[in-house]
Formats: sequence, structure tokens, C-alpha cells
Amino acid sequence: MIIMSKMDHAQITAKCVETSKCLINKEAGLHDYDLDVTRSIGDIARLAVNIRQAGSFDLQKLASISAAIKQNFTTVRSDSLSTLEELGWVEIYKEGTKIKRIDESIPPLEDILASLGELWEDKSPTEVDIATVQSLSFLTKKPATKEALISEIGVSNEPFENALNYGVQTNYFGTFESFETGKEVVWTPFYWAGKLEDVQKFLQRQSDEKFNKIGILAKELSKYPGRPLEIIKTEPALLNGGVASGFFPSVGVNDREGAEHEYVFSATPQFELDPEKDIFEKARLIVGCIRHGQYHAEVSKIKYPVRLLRSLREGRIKPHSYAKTQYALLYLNNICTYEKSEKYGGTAYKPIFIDTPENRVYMNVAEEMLKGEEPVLGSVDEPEVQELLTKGVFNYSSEQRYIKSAGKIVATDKFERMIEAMQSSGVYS
Amino acid sequence: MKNEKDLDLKLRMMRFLWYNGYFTRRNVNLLRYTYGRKTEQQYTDIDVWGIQLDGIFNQHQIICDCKSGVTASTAERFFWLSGIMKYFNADQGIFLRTKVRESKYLDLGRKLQILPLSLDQLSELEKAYNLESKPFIGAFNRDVIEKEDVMFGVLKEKAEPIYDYIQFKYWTDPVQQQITSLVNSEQKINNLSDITDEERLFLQMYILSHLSVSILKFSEPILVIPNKEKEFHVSERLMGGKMESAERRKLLETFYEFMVEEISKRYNEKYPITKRDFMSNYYPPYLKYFLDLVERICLKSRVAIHVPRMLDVITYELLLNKKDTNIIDQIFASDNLDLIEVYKLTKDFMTFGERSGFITKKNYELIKDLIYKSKS
Repeated sequence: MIIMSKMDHAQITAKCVETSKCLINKEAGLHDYDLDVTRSIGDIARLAVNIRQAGSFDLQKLASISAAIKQNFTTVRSDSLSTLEELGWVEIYKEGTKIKRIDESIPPLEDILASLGELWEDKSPTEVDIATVQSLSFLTKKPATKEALISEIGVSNEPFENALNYGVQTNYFGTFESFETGKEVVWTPFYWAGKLEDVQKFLQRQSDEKFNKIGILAKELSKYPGRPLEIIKTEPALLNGGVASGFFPSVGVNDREGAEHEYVFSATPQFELDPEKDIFEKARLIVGCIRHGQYHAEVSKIKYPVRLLRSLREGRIKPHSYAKTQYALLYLNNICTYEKSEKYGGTAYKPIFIDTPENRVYMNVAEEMLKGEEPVLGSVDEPEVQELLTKGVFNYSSEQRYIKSAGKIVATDKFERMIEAMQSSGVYS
Repeated sequence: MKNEKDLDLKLRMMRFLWYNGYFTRRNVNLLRYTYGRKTEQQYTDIDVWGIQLDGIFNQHQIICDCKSGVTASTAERFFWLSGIMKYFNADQGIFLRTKVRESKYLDLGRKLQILPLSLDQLSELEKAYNLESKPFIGAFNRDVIEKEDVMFGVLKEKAEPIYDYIQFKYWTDPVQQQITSLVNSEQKINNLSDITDEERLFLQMYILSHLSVSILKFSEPILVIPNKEKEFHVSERLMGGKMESAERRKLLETFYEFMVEEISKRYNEKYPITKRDFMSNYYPPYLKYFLDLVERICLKSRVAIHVPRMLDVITYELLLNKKDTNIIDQIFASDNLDLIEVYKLTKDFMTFGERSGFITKKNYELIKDLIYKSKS
């Protein structure tokens, strides 16, 4: 029995979701056993969010939802549904043995994350489950050498190797050799899909001490996404290297003189190789433009970024001569358009939000990012989690997702383990 | 009170309104409050009050003055009723008398939106609407009036402030205050130790039916707001609107800053509570469940409008009168409703209560089993 370092329940569920998403469409194997608890909790979370506020529905609708989120309908019906029923989140009405109707009372997202995280703990996760979830949680802030990671999460070598092995094959873990120390370093490449090579090169040049500093920087940035590069005083060289390689995603907004101002973020999970399809990338553009008005507006600087975002969304921003410069990125990315106005003497531009389902999702994530600095409202600490679980996102995103990872995952000692398992259950005896 | 004056008239009026889709109450007392405290001075009382909400939560309130005998001051009474209607923002008044010459007051009635009605004419209307054979149920069931009085007697004895609130203050409060106070009342009743389970359940369900009316009224402006923005509008509106909410928040922030400074000055220590934690007390803890409920209501507004009447039937007929669930089918038969959907949304109100901690799991399950007994 290993002692788990205390993890926030919401964070556990978030990591289960990330893992389960990476395991979509994978062939059956021993990972089904090793990662059973993690995967099923992740799947249940995604299902819960997608059926939330659906009211009463029949089995056919459940089948459609399962297909949309790429979950096996039989598993959903027999496993996930009964877990949701045990939690009191759905009620199942039957005619004989056949399900006639399902009534959902799925609670708000905050409760979904917290309750399922607790359930993950109660379900006696395997050591591989624990190693996976704990490592993911640790590595999203900073890479670590293998020994450091094992000592940090407190699992034994064998289950850790299995966890790492599954993760490497499905891209939620990666390893490289550090140029600095020659040690094997573990990281989470699916946070940097599309720029893996540059990010890996950047990380290969760092020492253990630098990894710690990277962790501090990432934590700072996740608390205040879109911080202007010039005001971050922590480890400037490391930060610049991180920004240049793409380890810290950034958005550059040009002012009227053409000078570029960089707004820096911590990395977020990326399920799309194409940045054009990455929800967080678009959200970062929005946050970057808002931050630009907050820090580099020519006349009156923005005091309340969240309110400005809402005004932008609701078409309440007054025409301004600088708007065309400030929101240029949103215009280029089809998130906003302009309305020209001569009303206030001189040419001014009113940014108009293009209200599409995708743009609404980007705006929602951007708002969560901006709320990182807001003391109230009790929003989920990790905005990326909220978006991952936002209703509807999976429906189109998961259909289009394309992660270059193995279709078949194998445990390192698969054959031996199978024989051993069969012998102990008496098959050969 | 079984020997209550004009009780028959009031009950018949309530039945007429109920089967026309109104949620009804009788004997609504309007008292004068000064600085939030009840005074002994009663402004007036209303014989029958009814509210109906349409598919977009527009309210149609009706005020009825029901008296037996002939009064000399009919015209004066019309103007009194008109004043009450204005106070409640009611769009219709009914002036019911054992005998009245409707034609004499038609013009004045039309101007003041008041319908003069004699008992004979009410009978005609009942025939026309096919209501003669409809049972007297819920709050207008003569058979449960005594039991109802006992229940409220217990409440008055054990928790007079709650009794006063639901009997008097509720009727004069703005909608967001009604919600906050009713939820608080529910929580207090939940914690009362010296009442029976039956009394607790009846009182909680009675309050829940009023709470459902207030929540539907509250949801009217929210209906048109996009989902993502609902949270902001719901929370601000629950705190009294943007201005009041901002003022309250500012006050709380100032208090926090004062505490931080004082503790630092006096004890040279850091105030142990973060601003985020401190400010998290600003909104009520049930806010997230309330938001969830409002969102669900907005998704099914045409179904939601039937919830208050459904809760009323459950409260009076299933709990107080111990009737079988089948009575619900009979009562709502003419409404052409998908009862399963109404049950589901009614259950959502119960879920809100259970998750917010003011309805016990046991009572939640009990009510759910009651209403689903014949439906599952």
C-alpha cells in the first residue's frame, strides 16, 4: 500500500479526464486493468457533463451521447450509469429489464469534479492509477527527472514504469535525456502538441534546479494568465527561453507603432495538433488582447478585465480609434469584426463579437483565465479543466481530434503478467 | 377555520382560478412594517390571491374580494380593490358578491380592470368551464383546512418569526428577498427539534411551493440571457441587483481591509483568512445549486410554470390529506400536460432543497417515491 500525497479531488478528476481522453479508441490490453479506476472516473466525468441539464431522456439519446464522446455504449449503460445512479445523479426507470427513461440531476461542475475525485480514492486505484494521476498533476507544472518524480509521488518502481509506459505510448507522458545532467527526464508532451521538438530542446538544456524555477514560473502564470512579459522579474533568461521555445505559450499584440507586447501563459492540455483548432490557443488570443488594453492602452487603461470581456461579448464596447489595433488578432481569427464609426469626431472602431458556438467556447475559457485574479465567485482553479469538461466541446472536438499515438498499448512485461495472472487464478493448475 | 366568514365563496373562487391555471391562496394579510419589524397595524387583507405565469414567466396576478350579502358601498370597494391591485401589480380584480348587478358596474369595472361577479354568475361560469364536478383540492379543500390550521399553529408556537414571515412579510418583500428568506426559513424548520416529521414535511413543502413561485418570477429576466452569462446575472440579482450588490461587496471588502490593517498594527501578525476566502461568504452557499435550478427552469419554461401547483397538490393532498398519487392524474387531466416532465422539474426543486441542505435526504426520497409511485 502506498501513501498518496494529498491531492485536491477536483484535480484528481481533471487528470482522470485527461488520461481517459488520451485512451480513446485504444485496443484492449492490460492497461484496461491497470488504469481501470482512472479511466472510468474520467469517462464518467465526461459523460456527466454531457448529460447535465438534459432532463429526461431515453436509451437512444444516451447511445448518441456515448458515440459523440467516443465511449462504448455497453460500458456506459452497464458501468457509468450505475455509478451515476449510486451517486444520486441519475434515476433509471425500467419496464421489465429494459431501461425506459433516465432522469438526470447532475450537479454543477464543481461538485462533479469534487465527488468523482473522492470516488477515485474510494475505488482503491491501482498503483499504476496512482502513479499516473499523481505524475500528471506534478508534471503539468514542471518536468522532473525520473528519480525525483518517483520519490515525489511515492510509488514503487514497477507500477511507475507501467504508468510511464502507457503514458509514453499515448502521449500524456514523454521522456528525454537532459543535456545538462544526462539523466532521464519525464514530462507531459500533450501540453505542447505541435511544438514538441522546440520545447523538448529547451527542456533538455535545463538542470534540476532550473526545473524547480520553471515550476515556480508556471504556477505564477497559471494564477495570472496573460501576464506581460516585461513585468515578470522571476528568472528572465529562463522565461525568455521558455517563451521562445513555446514552453510558455505567449500572445504578441502590436501597438500603433508596431512594437510587439508579449503576454505569457502557462501551458494547457492540447488535444489538437492544429493550433487553429485549439480552444486554449484562441482563448489566449482573447486574453492577450484584453491584457493589452489593461497594460498598454494609450489613454484609459482597463481596470476590470472580466467586465471588459463581457462588454466585448455583449457588444457594449464603445467605438475607439485604438480598437482596431488592440483587437487585430481577434479580427484575424474570426472572433471579432469591426463597425466603423465617425460619431465621435475622427474614425473609430467598435469591436463586434462574432457569436458562433466555437467563439462562445473561446470566450468562456478566456473569462475563466481572466478570473484567475478575481478573489470571489469560487471558480474552478484550473480553467483548462472547466473547458475540458464544458458541455458540447467534446461533441465536435473529440470527433476531430487527432493525436499521434499508438492505437495499441502494451505493458512492458505483458506476457509474463498474463501468464502469472492465469496461473494464480488456477487456469493452468 | 371552518367557520370562517365567506369561506364557501372564497373556496369556490379559488377552485375557479385553480382550474384556470392559477396558484391560489386565501386570506393574505398586509401589515405595516417599520424598519423591518412587524407592527400591529394591519393595512388590509385580501380574500383570494392568484398568480399564473405564462411560458415566458410573465405574471398575471388576480385579486378577489369575496363577500356575502349586499353592501351599499360597492363603488368605493371597487376603488379599494383597484388600489390593492396596483400594490400587487395585479392585472385583474374580481369583485364577488352573493348578489350584485353586474351590468351596473361594468363600465367602472372595465376602467379599473375589475370583474363584478354575482354568485349566480359564478355558477354560470363554472358550468361554462365545466368545473362544477371538479373536486375542491389543495389549499381550497375544505377537509384539510383544520389540519392546515393545526400545522400553522405549531409553526407559530415553535418558530413565530418564520410564521410571521410566510404569513405577512413575504407578501411585501421583493422577489430576491423572498427567495433568501424562504430558504432561510426552510433551513430553520429543518433544524427545529420539537416538531414531528409530518409537521416538518408539510411546512417545508408549503414553503417550497411559495419558493417555487418566487423563483419562477425571479427567472423571468434571466430567461433571455445566454447561458454563460446567467451566473453573473443570477448572482447579482439575488444580491439585490447590480448597484446594491456592488455596494454590499464594497462594504465587505472595506471590512476585510480594516481587519487586515488592525491585526497587523495591533498584533504584528497577518490576518489568517485570505481575501478570497473572506469574500466567498458574500454569496449564499446554495448559489451554485440555485443557478443550476434557474438554468433548468429556463430550459423548460413551459413546464416549469406548472411546478407551484404540482407542489401545492403534493403538500395538501398527498401529505396532509393522505390521498393516493393517482389524484394528481385526475387533477391535471384537463391540462393536457406531460406529467412526467412536470414531475421531473418538481423533483429538480426538491433536489435544489436537498443539495442546499434544507430538505433531508429522507424527506427528499419520501416525496420522490410518492410522486413517482405510479409513474415508474
